[in-house]
Amino acid sequence: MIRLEHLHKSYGNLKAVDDLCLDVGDGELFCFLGPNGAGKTTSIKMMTGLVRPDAGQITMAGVDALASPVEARRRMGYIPDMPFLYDRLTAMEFLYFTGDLYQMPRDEVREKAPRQLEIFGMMDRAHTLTKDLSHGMRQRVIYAATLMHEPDVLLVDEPFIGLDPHSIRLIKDLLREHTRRGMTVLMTTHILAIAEEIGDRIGIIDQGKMIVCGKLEELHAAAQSTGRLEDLFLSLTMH
Amino acid sequence: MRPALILIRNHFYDLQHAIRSVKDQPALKVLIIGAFSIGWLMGLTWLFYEGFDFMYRLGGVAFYLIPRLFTLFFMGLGIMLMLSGAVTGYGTLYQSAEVKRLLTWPVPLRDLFYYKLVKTTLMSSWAFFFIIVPFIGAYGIYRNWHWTMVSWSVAFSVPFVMIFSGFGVLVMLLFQGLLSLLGRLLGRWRNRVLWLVALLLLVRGVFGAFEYMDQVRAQRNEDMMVMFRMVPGLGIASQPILPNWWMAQGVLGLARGDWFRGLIFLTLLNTSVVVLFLFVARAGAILYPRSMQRHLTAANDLTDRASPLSRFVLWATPGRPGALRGYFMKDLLVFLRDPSQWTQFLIFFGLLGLYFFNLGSLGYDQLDDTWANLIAFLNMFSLSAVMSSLSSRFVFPQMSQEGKTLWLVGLAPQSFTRLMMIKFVIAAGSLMLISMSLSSLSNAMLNVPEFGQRLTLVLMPSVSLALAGMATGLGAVFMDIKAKTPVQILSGYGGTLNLILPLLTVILLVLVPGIISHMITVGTLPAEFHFRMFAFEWRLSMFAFTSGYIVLLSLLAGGLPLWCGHRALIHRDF
Repeated sequence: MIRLEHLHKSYGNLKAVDDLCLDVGDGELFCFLGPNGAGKTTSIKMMTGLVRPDAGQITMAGVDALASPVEARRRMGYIPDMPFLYDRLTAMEFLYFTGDLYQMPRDEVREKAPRQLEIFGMMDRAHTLTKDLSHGMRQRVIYAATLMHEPDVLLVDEPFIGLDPHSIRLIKDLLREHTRRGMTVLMTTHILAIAEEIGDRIGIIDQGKMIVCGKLEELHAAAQSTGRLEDLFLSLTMH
Repeated sequence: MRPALILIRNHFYDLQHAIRSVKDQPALKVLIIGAFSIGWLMGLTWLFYEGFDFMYRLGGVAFYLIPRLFTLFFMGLGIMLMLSGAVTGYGTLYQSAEVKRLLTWPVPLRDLFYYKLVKTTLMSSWAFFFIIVPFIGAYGIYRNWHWTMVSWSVAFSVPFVMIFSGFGVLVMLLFQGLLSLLGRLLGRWRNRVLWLVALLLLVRGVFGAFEYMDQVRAQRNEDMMVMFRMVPGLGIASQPILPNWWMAQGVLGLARGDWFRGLIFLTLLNTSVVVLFLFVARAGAILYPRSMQRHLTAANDLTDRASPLSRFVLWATPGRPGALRGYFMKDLLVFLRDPSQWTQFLIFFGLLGLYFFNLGSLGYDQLDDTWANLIAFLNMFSLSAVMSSLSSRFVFPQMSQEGKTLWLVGLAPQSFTRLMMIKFVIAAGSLMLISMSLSSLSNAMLNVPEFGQRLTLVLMPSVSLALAGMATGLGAVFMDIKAKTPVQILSGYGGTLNLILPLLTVILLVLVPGIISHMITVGTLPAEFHFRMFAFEWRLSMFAFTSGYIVLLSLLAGGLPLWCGHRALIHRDF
């Protein structure tokens, strides 16, 4: 689970995140929406440990992420929108490297790495250098590597940028499958239709504040709207 | 205007902007780099001057030796220029991101090649002027040349560097062409065949080296070999067909006032450049498109098996699971797959190894203890200086480069300090392995006295630890995760500092023990001191004293930057 309690983060005079509170339970897929510059990335950076909050508490998979950041990282996975890969490693070698970083025994990696690549349809490219893979293929390698250590919490930043329809379907199915098995997923996206389709709950952040949060029906009820999520989103974030 | 000319013009605009941007750089950085450059030029000029002075004090033999020394010096530079041209050419022609971008523009491949050829020549040769100028300058000062001789030397140097650099590009192109051809003929078996050939050549080379040593040893008492032993490689370097001989003869001819001879050789160098570049351009027009195509399409070759290299590295990294093993495996694979990295190591340490290996065959093992000890410490200084520059180039940028994978490395269950310490362990271990092997080879070939041998066992691991600690620690302090290339990381203030501090450390670490060892060998310093203090009789071993100095200084030089790095990284962690 993810628990954020009264998180604050400012950059100079700009309040990037202002008193953010959030609870995402086990096996829940939470979609985190907001216009550009709303504070989504800062929030995720604080959850991942890349940025220290000015105030507040972060609990990831039951671990206080501020007091025990290494233990918290061990239990989570993060997939950024444009991740850098080591160009001169093959997809398989990259998975081995990731396994070592997460202290997985070599036998376990030997068993899991091909299975992960198989799941993501990358087995025929397992021994290709990552620099020679397309954007979509690189994203698949990253998913395979991130999920290999079976994190309790998964943070996904804009997962569908530049992907073909097959990859999008694959990732949607995979996120659903993992949440069914108990993984907590927090995903940011600008593709509102997908958030509507797969999100258990949706939160909309604007100017650093969570303005609405709940199931789609609850959001509509709160905003007294009956249309699509897109209309709701625009009406709430139009200044 | 031809696309090649537009690209070259654009490159010069780029250079102009780079030069103009110097005024926007921090004054301290410009001052340090400027002082270092001037210090380098003056220091090297002084060293060469002292060398010439020493030779002329030998008497008449100097008049026979100096022209040959010029020939040999330019031959050595020529070989390095050739290697530099080949390595730089491969990087700029096949690996640069610019090429892939230019290929999407309406630029014919031939024009692209011409442009890259000019760029390669400039990039691979400019630094050599920092060696040529002090050498010729020192000789000119010693022989009271007229100042205009310096400009003549530059006129000779330009075609000289172009010839060797161009030849390096040509060799690299032919090799790429050969790879394409073999790829078509042998398919997937190509790499295996190439590895087999390389292995056979290596075995033949080792046997050849031993045969050569035996031949030279057999000729030791013949008078005619004395000169060749004093100046190794002279026979090959003095061939009149080689450009290094033209360069030496031309410069010395002009210096003597023999204008006809000087200008003949200058013309010969310039016409050779024109002919060579016409040839390289023609070869490039034929070979480059095909070999580039191979590079671009190689990615589509699907394979169902890991490469032998991959299987070997994964097999060779057993042990406890953890980040150390992961980084070791990753860094080793990345290093071996990047020719621009391993070729530099191979060239520098290979040349040093070759020189150390030849010390025995050139009769240096017959020298008395004083000389053997002196040369051993000079060798250790050369080795440490090379390690210093390579650690600055390869170890310093590593923390910044890992920063690009912050999504994985930064979020893995480990602290940044642990990452820094892993980088330090890998760098120190690699440097130690290289330095211990090469210094032991040098000592064995020189038959160094026991004191020097024992000191080496303390000195080289300490130098390795100090250099690795300094490069990793400063790399963490000046971590720049926004820089896209190692060059950008190195061009910052931290990169400059990391160039100068290790060199100063090497001087302090090697010079003091070298002087002590020399004084003990010549007998001006006893190996042990006995003195009374606090009513006790004390005994101080010079070995223990010198070892203590080395260990303390290296701990300070390596440990302090690591501690600063740790402090800087705490702010990056939660």
